[in-house]
Amino acid sequence: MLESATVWSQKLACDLIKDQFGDIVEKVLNCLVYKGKHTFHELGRSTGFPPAQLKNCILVLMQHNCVEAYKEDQAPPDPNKVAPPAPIVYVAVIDRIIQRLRHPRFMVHVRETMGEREEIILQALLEHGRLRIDQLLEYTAAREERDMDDARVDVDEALTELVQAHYVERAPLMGSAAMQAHASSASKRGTRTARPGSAAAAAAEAEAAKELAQQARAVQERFRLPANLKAVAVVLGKRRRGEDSGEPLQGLDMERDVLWRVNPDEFNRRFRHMLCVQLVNKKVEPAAGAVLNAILRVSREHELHAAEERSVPVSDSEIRTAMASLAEEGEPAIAAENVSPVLRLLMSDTSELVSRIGEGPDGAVNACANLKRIMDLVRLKEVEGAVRDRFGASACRIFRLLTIKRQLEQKQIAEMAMLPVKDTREILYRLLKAHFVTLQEVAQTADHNPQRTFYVWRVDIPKAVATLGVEVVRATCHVRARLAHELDSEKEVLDLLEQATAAASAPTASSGQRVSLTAAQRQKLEYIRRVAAILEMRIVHLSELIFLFHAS
Amino acid sequence: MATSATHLEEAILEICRANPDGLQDEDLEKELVGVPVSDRVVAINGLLTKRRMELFQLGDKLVYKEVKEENVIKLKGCTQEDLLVYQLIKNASTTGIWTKDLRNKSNLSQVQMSKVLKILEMRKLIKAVKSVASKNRKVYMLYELEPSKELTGGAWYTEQEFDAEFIQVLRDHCLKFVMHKGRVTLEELCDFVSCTGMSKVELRPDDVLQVVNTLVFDGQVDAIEEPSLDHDEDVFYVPATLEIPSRGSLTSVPCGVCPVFRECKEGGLISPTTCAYYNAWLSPAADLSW
Repeated sequence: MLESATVWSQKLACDLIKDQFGDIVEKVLNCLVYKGKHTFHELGRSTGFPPAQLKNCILVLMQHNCVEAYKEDQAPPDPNKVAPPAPIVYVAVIDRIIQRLRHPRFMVHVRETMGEREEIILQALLEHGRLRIDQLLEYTAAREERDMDDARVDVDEALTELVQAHYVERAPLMGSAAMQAHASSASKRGTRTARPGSAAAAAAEAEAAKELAQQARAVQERFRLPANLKAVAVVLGKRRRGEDSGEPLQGLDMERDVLWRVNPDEFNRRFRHMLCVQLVNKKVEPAAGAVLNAILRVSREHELHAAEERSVPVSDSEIRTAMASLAEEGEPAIAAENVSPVLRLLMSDTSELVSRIGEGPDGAVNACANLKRIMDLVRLKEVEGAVRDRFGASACRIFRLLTIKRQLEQKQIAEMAMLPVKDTREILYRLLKAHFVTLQEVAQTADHNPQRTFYVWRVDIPKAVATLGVEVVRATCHVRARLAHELDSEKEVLDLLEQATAAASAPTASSGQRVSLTAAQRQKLEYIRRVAAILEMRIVHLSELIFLFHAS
Repeated sequence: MATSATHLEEAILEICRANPDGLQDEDLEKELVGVPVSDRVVAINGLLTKRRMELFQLGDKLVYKEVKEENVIKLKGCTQEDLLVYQLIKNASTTGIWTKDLRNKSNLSQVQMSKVLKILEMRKLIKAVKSVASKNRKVYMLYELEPSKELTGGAWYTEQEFDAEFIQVLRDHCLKFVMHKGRVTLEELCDFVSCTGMSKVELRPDDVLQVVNTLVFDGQVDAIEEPSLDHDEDVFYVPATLEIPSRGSLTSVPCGVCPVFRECKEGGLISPTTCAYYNAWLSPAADLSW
């Protein structure tokens, strides 16, 4: 999870919580977001709420995975005194809160790739934050209007599929490995790197290896199926392979107390892979896109972080196997013998999207996909599009010219872009104001005489991308504010509509209670429906852009 | 005495003719052995006054050159100032020299300058040329010379104005050609441009390269470099593979293209709730295709 705590991300997070859970809960979150981590007492002091109310707020926030708690590591205690208990500290998880905007997309993805019953489970988890398996069962039964026993098998199977695909994980418990990992990573920021070769460096390396192993264990723990579901997994596996097993499930020891929650990282990983494959499809050729898909499929199980920069090295035999399973699932795939030439084509592309790592023991080539580079390209294209739409096609030309040629003077820019000097100057200063380009003075004389200094224009690509990322979040806040305002201003009409629908659906409506709308009101209703639809759709699109710019 | 002086002058002129690249003073002395210095000086002065010989300075040495017949006639009847101005303008060759610079170098007054320039122009020795870089300046150069590229702006300027339309037409044609062919080199493009005869001025490969580069910078054409046998690298132009997205999610809302985006905040003078751009965008009559 990234630390994207810009002012606008914080505001968006608070706005989202306020809409969903109300002012009181939002006040607690506000403290955590703007003032960092708090213990329970500190929160009580900052918000002024009585402990019971505060406890409820925190419970709500934790239930929906907006706030996490962990025990803070204390300094080694004095051996003479009794060590005080480690205080529990609460921290707001802004990224996860912003992910709430993308719930519809998650549901659509699961429905398309898995099925309707998985979608129902996912919806339950998204609505309620964390649920036990019996609660899931209740929800599904109520939704599908079935008997609980009837639905049990389906729910078990659907949950198993979701957990195996890593879309759903166990909610971490206090004191578990995941919590410790979080706490130690929080406290480890700011340690200096030791000199290579020294004893300290060796110790640091050993630490790093231990941490990696710990992280791998934590990942395994997150997706560990309880024993009863393991049996289900076996059955599902057999069924997938075509064998029909009619064995009933045994009553193994049920871990019924496990809380399950959605894992947005996995969704983002899949979407990121899809974007990468799309880019390679366009840039090289569709067959290359299929090969990349296979590489990413193999590498997926080994990715530890949410945002890996590179995939693991994959050999072409592994690619062929993955390609076969892709073909089974109905995704675009190519024949096994074409894998090697297409892979070579991919590796020879000048943008270094896939690089050759080395050779395996039998001469097979190992390839590694540079996810970061691919995502950087996608983001750069978005920035170029934004520059073109906002400042004009000439500005886009100048921007691209500077990204290709690194640094130029104003006169050279005008010449190469074939634009009049006056226009070039204006565009450059507008871009400078919006922080898409930078200007540097290179003085020839000691007194920085303007006649004798070079003024050099540059594009700092990471900075431009970051600028746009912040703007996207800010724009989302604005659009939501506008939507709230529009809904507010037509409140009376909407209230009337609610009354009308309530009256219509109530079976015993007396004629005196019938509510009808005048023509003007109907028109207003039409207007507000249209406006709400447009704004909500734009918000969903913007949330996708937020993901693109903040998920690295 | 006059005859011997004329003889001496002729002799000096002959020696000069023998050294068309210039005769140094020392060499002249060596050739004219037995001639006293005073006589030589008188003869040289005579030649210089009659404009049959020119004097240059090469480092700290003096060099003499004979003036050609036609030039002598051309410059006949000119005063010292005229000649001075003429020489300064000649030194500027194709770049030309500005009136103010001319005045500084010659130390003449404004009135004198204008008179001299008028005389020279009338005699068709110099001409005034307008520069594209600074439209208010008058730049003078010799009559027979062509103004250099910086002054006229090259092929892209017709009558001192930047010819944007012409460039746009060229770009469109080149783009269509690249799209059609799929993979072209610079030479093929040059041939295409000259064949279709789109431009009145002849376009050199550099000019075509400039045009194609603007297409690359616009993201419509990609330049691919590949090693080749003849040169170190061959550059091919292909239609762009990664296009810039047409209407991103950010720019589909007014915020994405708002000029006052950074001043906007809730409760402020400019806010999302009172935004005029939103009012226009959400109004029932608006076209929401963007």
